[in-house]
Amino acid sequence: MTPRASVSLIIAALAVAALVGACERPPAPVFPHVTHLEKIACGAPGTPACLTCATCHEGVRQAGNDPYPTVKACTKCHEKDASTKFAQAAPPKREGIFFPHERHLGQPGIRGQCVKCHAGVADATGQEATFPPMSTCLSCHQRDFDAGTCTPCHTGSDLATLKPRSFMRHDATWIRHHGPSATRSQLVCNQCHKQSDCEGCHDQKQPLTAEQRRPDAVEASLVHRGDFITRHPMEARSQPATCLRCHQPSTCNACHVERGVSGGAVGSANPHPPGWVGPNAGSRDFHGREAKRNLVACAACHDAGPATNCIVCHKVGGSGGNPHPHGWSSSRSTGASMCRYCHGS
Amino acid sequence: MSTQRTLAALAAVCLVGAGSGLARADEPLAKPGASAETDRFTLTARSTSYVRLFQRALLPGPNGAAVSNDLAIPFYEYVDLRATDIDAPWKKDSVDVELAAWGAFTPGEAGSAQRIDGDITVANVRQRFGPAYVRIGRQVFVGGAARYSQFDGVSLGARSSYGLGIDTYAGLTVLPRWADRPGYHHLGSAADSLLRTPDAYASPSRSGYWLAGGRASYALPSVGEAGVAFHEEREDTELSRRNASADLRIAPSSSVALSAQGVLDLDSSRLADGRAWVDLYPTSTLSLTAEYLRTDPALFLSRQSVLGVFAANRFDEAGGELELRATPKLTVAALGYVEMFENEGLGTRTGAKLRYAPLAGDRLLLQLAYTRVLDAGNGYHSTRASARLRLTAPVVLVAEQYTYQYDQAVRGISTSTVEAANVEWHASPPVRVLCGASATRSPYAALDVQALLRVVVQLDGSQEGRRR
Repeated sequence: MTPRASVSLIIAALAVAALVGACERPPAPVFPHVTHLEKIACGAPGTPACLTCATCHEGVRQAGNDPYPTVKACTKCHEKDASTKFAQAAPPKREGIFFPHERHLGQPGIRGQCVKCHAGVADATGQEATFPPMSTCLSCHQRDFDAGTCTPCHTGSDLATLKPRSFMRHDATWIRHHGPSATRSQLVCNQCHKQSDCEGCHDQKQPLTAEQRRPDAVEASLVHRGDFITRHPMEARSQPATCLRCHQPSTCNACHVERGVSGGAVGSANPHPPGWVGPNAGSRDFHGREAKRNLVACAACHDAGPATNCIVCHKVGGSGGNPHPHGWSSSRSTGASMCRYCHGS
Repeated sequence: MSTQRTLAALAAVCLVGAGSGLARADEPLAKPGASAETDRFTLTARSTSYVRLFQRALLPGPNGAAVSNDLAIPFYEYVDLRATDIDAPWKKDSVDVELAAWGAFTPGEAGSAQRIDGDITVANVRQRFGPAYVRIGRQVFVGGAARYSQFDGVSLGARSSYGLGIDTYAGLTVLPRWADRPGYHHLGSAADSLLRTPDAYASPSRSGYWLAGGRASYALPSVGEAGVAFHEEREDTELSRRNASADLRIAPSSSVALSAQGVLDLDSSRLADGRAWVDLYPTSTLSLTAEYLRTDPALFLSRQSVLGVFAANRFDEAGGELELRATPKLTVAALGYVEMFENEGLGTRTGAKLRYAPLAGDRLLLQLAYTRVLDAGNGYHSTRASARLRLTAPVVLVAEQYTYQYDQAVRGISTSTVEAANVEWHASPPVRVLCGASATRSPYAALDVQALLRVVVQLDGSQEGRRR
């Protein structure tokens, strides 16, 4: 498919999506708290008593009771159409949280005030979520969170399906820093994610890549998608340390050998340009220049420990001279086995 | 694969099968309204089978050699078992078990692949004692000075109520399987006479490959956390890595977090990786992150690599990313980074992505992404268009198209395209079947067509003790 055809296809797809989206039904109404708590004339002679949270959420202060109102609560005012009103109120989807309201309402910091956690609920027109975000819970339960104690507030089977929204937001900017977050919060991560989930992307030893195993995961940030074979030298040069987070140089060479682009395979094509090894160290294609620039790429084929062919020339007394660049140092003695190959015993 | 490994992989498969069977037999599935006295546990068993139906690449091989056609139908099986909150005789709801393994069977012409292969990815048991834990078996430790380490051993840790935390680990390193491929050998120098024959490169003995380390941290609720870590890794008893690290995160409010992390290579007393970043959440719909990174790639090589002595070049990277949920249906994301290579000029990495889900429940999802990568040698523009449609409740369709335009032609070709499509059928609650295919035209394949069949069987046996 040509690039022009691709763009045409994309535009057509977006146009169809826009049309479909425009035809979609609006969302069903939900309970308008603001109407009931602030817009009804109340308290004055001849008007009904003002509503409070407990007027409808009667069961919230007693252990074991459902905190949500029943149709009976609606009948207090909506005598004729209580069932219709109740149906329109559309109780929110249960979030699977174990939350003993009666225990929390008695806490000194809450003192029976629902709005301590359900901030803004009195102004809710019905379209907003009235569940407090988890960051509200963490204002008291941070220690439990850090210890990875997610149950029994959350239920174990729900954890794998939940996605953080108000902390550790798992959005597009998350993926770049999920490693450092996992450093701090391994116990937390492990509540929802198995260790094999980490291995699903990071394990270089599996026979199928994560992209091959999950061809339907269009939203996942998997790095080896599309024509990665052609792109990989550019990606490796652009982010030289990134590849080494999962791969070892031997991984590169195993594939290069298999595809005949490594000196490790008999009959391989030499990937290096003319002048690569020669007397003209000032040449643009001289190997030393590229080695300084992107040593990790060299390691893809040449990382053979003491057997590497680099030290044929780059050793004490060799034609390649001192390989150690300015600023190089090591805490090891020259008697270490790796050093002995050049420096003698 | 050695006989030992084959048996281990088969044992893992049997164990998972037995585990799921036992769970179904002995532990009843959750019932609505489970009473407060009900025991609590979670059990998940998952089997995923793959068959690669065919694969063709139509370009000359090495040195112009004609590519031979081999008929092979590789079959892969992945199994995954996790059980949490199992009762131990001495403590209720305190044991977690995890097991993951894969096996491969290639009838027909296996080529360089082994006919029967397999491995255990994760197999460990964790016992929790209040704020402390101990985990034994094949496991992963991530972050800090360890970066990403897989080993067979033990890890243990604890968190105190004063915010102090400690995690330690030690064990035998899990070695890359690809290093065991038959016929594979490193490029050696005949003059050095260390590799006169490929057979001289024997499989390493695991006993000399071990690692150990730990991390200590202090956390202040609603303020942040600081930690220091140490990691030592040995290859054939010689030093491979010896790193120390420090990390810090300060979150003065729920909308701002400042983080920094540094990894020091103790062997050469140089900073291997240092980064600082800020995460901003100005609104519930907008996320921003900005980062500065300095890294020394040569220090990520093993200290047993002679190549590690050849370079001390660093590179710096600075940039940021954002995601804006413009409307409940439309999300926009963008990124931009500049890479500064020492004495080699600049590279850039930029991109943008649109995500549009016009129907309720993400029944239809459309994505459009553009990426531009420019390095000192070459670069490319790429576009990716994806569509996912839940056609009916059990049927999901996915179609994708990728186009790459390279700045400098690769093997005389400057454009690659990939088209992929798959359909998934939720045959029954535990069973999903996916059939997919892709066609690629690239500098390395005039036409590469692949197809895949995937069958997933997932069994969940969970029971909640208290729920409201």
